Amino acid sequence: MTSDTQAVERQAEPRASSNPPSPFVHSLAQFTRGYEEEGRLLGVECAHCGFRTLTVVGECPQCHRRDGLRETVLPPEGVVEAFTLQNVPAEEFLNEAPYAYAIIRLKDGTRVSGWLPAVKRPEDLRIGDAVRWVRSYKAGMVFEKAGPQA
Amino acid sequence: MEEVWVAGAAMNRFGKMSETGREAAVRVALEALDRAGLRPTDIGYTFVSNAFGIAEKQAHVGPLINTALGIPEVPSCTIESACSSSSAALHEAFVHVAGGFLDAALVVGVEKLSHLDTLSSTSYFAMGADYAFESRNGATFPGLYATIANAHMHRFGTRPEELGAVAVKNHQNAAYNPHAHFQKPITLETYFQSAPVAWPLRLYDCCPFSDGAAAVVVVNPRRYRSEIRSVPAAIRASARAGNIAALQDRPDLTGLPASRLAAERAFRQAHLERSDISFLEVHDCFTIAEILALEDMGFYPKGKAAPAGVDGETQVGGKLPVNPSGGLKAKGHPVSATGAGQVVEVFEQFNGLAGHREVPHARYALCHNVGATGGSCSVHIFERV
Repeated sequence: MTSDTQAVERQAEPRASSNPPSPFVHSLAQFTRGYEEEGRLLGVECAHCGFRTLTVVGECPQCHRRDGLRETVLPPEGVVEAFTLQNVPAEEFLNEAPYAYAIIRLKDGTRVSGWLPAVKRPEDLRIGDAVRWVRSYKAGMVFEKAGPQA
Repeated sequence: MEEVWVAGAAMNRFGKMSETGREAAVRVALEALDRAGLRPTDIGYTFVSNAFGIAEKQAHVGPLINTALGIPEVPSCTIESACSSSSAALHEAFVHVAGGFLDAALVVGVEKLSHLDTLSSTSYFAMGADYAFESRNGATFPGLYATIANAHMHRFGTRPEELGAVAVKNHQNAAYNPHAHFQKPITLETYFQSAPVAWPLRLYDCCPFSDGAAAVVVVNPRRYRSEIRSVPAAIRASARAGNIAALQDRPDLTGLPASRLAAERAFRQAHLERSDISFLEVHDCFTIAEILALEDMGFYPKGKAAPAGVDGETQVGGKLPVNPSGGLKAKGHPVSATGAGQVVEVFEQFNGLAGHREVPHARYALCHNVGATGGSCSVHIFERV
């Protein structure tokens, strides 16, 4: 049996220490700072199953575990999986059209979105082409074609 | 579970509305109720879709609509699921009536964006995508479907003229639909002459930005059977599915897994086969999307829907008529009114109101409505009662 006084005293104790820490959620701000200011692609990796992504995750979508998620730096090299040539641009890319938007598979298998300002015609890019992320003053994640001609 | 019927459905002409969204919503709601033979006072709940209401500086439009219908005490809420908003609202209405919580519900989808310029409209449409990863890298909505088209063409050898055949067919169907945004047939030549928007997609691969409104009255026949004036459409399946929103995070780009999953759930719910379906209204926001829908939902094997379209199988009068209304492609795509608009086509087909685009002896119809690039999908199957 607990007296009223004891109950009040227990409520008055600080609770912060007994609360679980806020769950890890891959931070968009840190990811953006990573590629805009620090020159690295800051992704997230699951220590249990090896799943890697750039996107916002709070639990591994592959093995559904939470405690293995940690930030990791992704490689800048990859290949084009699919792309479009944006003749009609997005609002923030008015002065860049035409340009290519692409889904790129990085060397470690992580898929990312990016765009290639230098690609002006569909015949200038092919699925399977090697590309590389480059630091740029332009918005978003800028890629350029890699290889001998680059 | 209670039986659920669509007792009435109506829409305005998709295109450019001179009135506000709320006025158009009230107009189509009254028409749908009239077609059903019901009164606004029969309605127990109004499920509204108006994803881009903020473009009219208006949120919380439900009470405005209900007040105009003379039923201000009736509850309402707004359901948003990008381009699949009003089919999501229909699903909510279905769940409430099937579960016995309501005897009659009103579904209203409405959108008005034509007072904005193309650039702003494109930006609104792109809000359904993953902003941080897709839009921030220059992708527009046509660009994302163009990327899917590029992957599909690379894997299955899908050809531009096969995309063009979808456009030609749907414009032909829309020419017989007085509700359609575009009512003129086009030729394959016109298609190829149209400007590139997002290679490999051209202007005529893309649905238009339309204003529009559509309403559906959903009832429990145990309560309303004797009052209904129309040929009702029984809802045999109301299924939804979700999927990874951003293309970059999907293992395969040549289909929309949410369409596959929603269709599987719907056919299980309805105890029907693909071959039972008389016609389909599918989500052809771009020509490639109609091809994806037919393959993902299991009507054709992967890579086989495009040639079947060229062979005429999907025309009205063909083996499996697809989008007799003209589809999003030609009937128009007022985002939040689109799903409800598909149901209007089913209702008009079942009620002998489809004129030259009628699919004769139609018994089962399927509506497929996708949110954005497949983060959401609804599939409904209807039976003519």
